[in-house]
Amino acid sequence: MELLKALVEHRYALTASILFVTGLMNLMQQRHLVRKVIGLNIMDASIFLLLASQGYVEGRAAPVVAAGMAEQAAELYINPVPSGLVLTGIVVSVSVSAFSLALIQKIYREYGTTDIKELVHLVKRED
Amino acid sequence: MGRQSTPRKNPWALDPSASGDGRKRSAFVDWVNGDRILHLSAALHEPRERRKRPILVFNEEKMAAQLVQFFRRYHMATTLMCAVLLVIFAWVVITLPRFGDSAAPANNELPAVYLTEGPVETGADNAVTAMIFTYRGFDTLGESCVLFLALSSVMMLLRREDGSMLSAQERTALAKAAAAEPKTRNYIIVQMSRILVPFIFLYGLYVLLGGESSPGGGFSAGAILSAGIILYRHAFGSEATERFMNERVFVAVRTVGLCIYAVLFGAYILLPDDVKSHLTAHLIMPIDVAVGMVVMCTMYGIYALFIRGEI
Amino acid sequence: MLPFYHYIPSVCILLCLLSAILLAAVRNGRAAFAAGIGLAAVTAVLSGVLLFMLMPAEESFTFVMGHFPAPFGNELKAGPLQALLTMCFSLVVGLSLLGGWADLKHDVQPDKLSLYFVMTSLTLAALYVLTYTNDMFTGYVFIEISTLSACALVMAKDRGPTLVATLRYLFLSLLGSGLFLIGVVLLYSVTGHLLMKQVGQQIIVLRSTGRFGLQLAFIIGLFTAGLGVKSAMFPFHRWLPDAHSSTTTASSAILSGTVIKGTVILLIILFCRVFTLGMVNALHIDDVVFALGIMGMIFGSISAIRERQSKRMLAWSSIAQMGYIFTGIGLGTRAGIAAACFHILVHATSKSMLFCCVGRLSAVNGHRKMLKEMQGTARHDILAGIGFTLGALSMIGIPLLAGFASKLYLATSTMDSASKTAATLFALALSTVLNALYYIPAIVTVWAYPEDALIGRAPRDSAFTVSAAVSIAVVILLGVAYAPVMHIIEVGLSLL
Repeated sequence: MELLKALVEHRYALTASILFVTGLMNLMQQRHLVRKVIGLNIMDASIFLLLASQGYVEGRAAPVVAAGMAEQAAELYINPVPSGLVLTGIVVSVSVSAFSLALIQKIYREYGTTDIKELVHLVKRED
Repeated sequence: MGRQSTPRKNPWALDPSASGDGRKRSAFVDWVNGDRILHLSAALHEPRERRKRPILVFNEEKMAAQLVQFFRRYHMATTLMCAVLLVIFAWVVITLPRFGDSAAPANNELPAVYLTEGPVETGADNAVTAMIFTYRGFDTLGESCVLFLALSSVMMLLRREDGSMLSAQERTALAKAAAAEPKTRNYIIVQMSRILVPFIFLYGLYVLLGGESSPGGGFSAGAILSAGIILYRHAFGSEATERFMNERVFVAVRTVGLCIYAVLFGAYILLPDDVKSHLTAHLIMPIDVAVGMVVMCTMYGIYALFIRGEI
Repeated sequence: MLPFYHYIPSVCILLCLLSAILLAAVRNGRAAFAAGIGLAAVTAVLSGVLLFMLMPAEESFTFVMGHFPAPFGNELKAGPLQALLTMCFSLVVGLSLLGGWADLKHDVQPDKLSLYFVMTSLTLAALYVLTYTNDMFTGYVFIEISTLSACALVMAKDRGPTLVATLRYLFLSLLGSGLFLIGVVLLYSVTGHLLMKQVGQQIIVLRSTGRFGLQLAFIIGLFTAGLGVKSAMFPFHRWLPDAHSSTTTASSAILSGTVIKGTVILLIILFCRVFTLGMVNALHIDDVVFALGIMGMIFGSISAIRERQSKRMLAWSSIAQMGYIFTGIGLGTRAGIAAACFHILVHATSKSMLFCCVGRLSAVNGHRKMLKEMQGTARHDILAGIGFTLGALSMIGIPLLAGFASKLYLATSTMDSASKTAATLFALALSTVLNALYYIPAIVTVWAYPEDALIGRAPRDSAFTVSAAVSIAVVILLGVAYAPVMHIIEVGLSLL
């Protein structure tokens, strides 16, 4: 019973960990390169979910301070720090996805395949 | 182990019969090259017979079988490792402070100061904008550089060379694609874009300029504006887009935007304290606009490079 | 107003970022090359000035980035150790670019040459921030910058196998960054701070109350794994041989010399500043790092013996040398970490010199990289031959060269930790023998009489001559004058 209560109380963090491991398995086991990139995106999204869920405080509003409420603001709004960190993280995630997809496109033009097994085969033959 | 077939003699002596062409060669150099194996190195190298072949024979089936075996073992090992990681991760995460707890360690004086002092000191009601552009502005500068870096890398990878370096068949293929472009434009997309694109730009500008007092800011606005340009290009083709967004404009906007950010932030860091407090209140808006332009250019640039290989 | 040298770290970082932004708009490859070299020179000089100002007074300072002090704003922390390391990195990047310029012109397309120097400027910026930072999230952002720029440096050479090697490097590196980010997230939710000093204080409080013990152990494990992937720690080293050997000379030198060191330095800073060494010892993380370091030493050398291509051999040797560094960290004492830092300096200078010389020697024989085909090439470029010989002897550990001093310090620092002495000394001896087994045949090969007529003598390369001469001087200097350098490192570590 205690375990079930703990699981429900930490539902976001638990979901984030399941998603992270899912993304990691995709990254490592999928043979198609674009699916690996999707696994990487799932991993990053799970980390952002974990981070964003750490900022929420029950019963408070989004951290846009209404006029004249600055003095009691600490009691009325959620924690803005994780939101800022997630913003940075999302931009970084987009950048690396763009880079890896461009790399995959170049590899496809060069070798004609996006299957990692065939690629290893072709590269070994070339060397 | 490779016992040599020739009778035992001084290994360092010159051996004219060692190589096939009869030139006198130092046996020492032969050993260095791997053509003559002494006892000790035989333990670490492959058997002597293989050495005589000039190139390694590439055995296709054996390599394919090896690869299949490797991937099967790899599959099992990674699944096991991920299962273990999941159990450990879930266990660690369950004992964290619970979701929404106001007594969590994260809710200490840090967010309190950002929420109470932030609007007063920086002039931005949105505490997140205040935080990422003034208090933790260096991280945001780094993040803009990540975007810039991704764009430069994609340019390095995908940008087409100058026309003089293309082969003849590539040039004809490009000419064919260019000629085919107007006919591939979808009628529905063209008509809807005529209506939507102005509103998208307007909305993007609203989000950009309202970043201080409502959710929004440079990054989201940049994404919206770039969506507008991408839709425009997809509907009307590259010639129409290049009238206002060609390579020169692109490079100029990106460089000027990032330079404004770097110079403003550098001034903010390096100037003495009394000047800084004046600067803090007015820092956010120009940086926000610069970041918005840079993000817009980056997203559009990546799209253009993927589609055609040039901007 | 603060004293002028307080501004040096941030000025260097901003210079690197600004030059990267402006270089992207430049089209001329030669101008970009001059700017890249100029940037490396200016930052090296500035770091040297900083070191010179900090050493006599043995002080370190924190520099507030902006108007707001920690924990609300961002901060840099600078001390003698950081100044020394950044000076070394700037020097190595400058020398690598000089030594590899001819190969760059040969390998990279001319209109993309200026983008290459954008990447080197950003690599340098990332290295500076990783060394000076006092904030964990800034560390994450610049780790990502370092990853992306390193991958861009690898794929500058546009061949098929290079692209696949880049992809593998990218995926593994991003996995490492992801692990590091989870560590930062968990650490924030447990302590509530991002600045290192405040996090360290909170951790002391938590340890005294005994809360969150499991989390802290998991977090240290995540940081070690994440940063270890990027620095080629033993089980995660598979990406390095392909990535460092299939790319152009300057990239190999910069990557092997500096990029894999930046994340190790961040790990050292985390161990010393955030989680104190006592905590790392108590949780036995240092034992794990020690074991992995020793395995890296041995397996790296054994695999290098099997290699027949010169650059792959050097890449496997890099893995072995990173094993030395991890062994030093794994000893868990200040002396061990000081030895590891000294080896960082040694490996950065020697390995970049080795890669540049190998690049030049293979250019003499028409860019063929197999060791057999490089036979006798040193006779056509004596300086490259001398550089290769000295670099190889330094990696083996011959006295009067840099490698000897770092092995000496590693051996003496094990005397404090009773349980690890025998293993370290045995591994050091074994790996020295193994190093000799593959470096000496290579030295003999390049100096032996050439068999076939070498096709196309390469034209005189003045940039390479300058680079090789300075590198040789630095390696010999480090080998002879190791005591003052070690003193700087020890002082810097105590102020870390």
